[in-house]
Amino acid sequence: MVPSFAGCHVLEIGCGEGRVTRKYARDAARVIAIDTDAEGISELRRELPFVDARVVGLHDLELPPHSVDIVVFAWSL
Amino acid sequence: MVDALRRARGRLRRTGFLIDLHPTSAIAAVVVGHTIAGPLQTGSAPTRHQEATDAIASVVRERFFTQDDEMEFEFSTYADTLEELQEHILEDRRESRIGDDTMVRAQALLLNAPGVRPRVRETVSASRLLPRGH
Repeated sequence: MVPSFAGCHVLEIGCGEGRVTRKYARDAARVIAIDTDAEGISELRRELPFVDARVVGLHDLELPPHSVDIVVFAWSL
Repeated sequence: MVDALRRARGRLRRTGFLIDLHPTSAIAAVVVGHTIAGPLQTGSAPTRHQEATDAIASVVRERFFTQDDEMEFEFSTYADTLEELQEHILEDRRESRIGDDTMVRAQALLLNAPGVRPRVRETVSASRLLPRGH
């Protein structure tokens, strides 16, 4: 279903503490992971400091249009 | 949910894709080894999961995306003890919990299964969607 995250710019929406993010983040070129739960984002930042983890909802996310290769919703739709 | 999918499409490159994973509306179970101790109490979660499935179908029907791939698989969340499993579920999921009857049955099963870790087993739907009409 997902050939590879290698070299990809990924946006994960509703990442929580990163239980799925940690499966692919080291392969991706860049990961932006967002969630409105500050506690989860804080935990994710501790474990994966290279991930651009933000406490924000999709509606308020500042990100250029058509700028990511993969969008992930994992248990978050 | 449909709005979130549409917004996500606006972030995707023409060559990109969207991956969605969400449990199906099938009832999740508390399992010890290969034996089902009982259903997980999930409140309105199955309704939300069905809404997610419907949202995917809607954005495909409305030609925001093409469904490129779809599959279902079993997904298990393990813990070292039943108490840890209950704690994780209470923290991680809205409304869900292991009910008292299932807790008792799972404890009895664990007594006869040393070293076995209890788990919650659910069926997860995975979809890969390609953006259309950029």
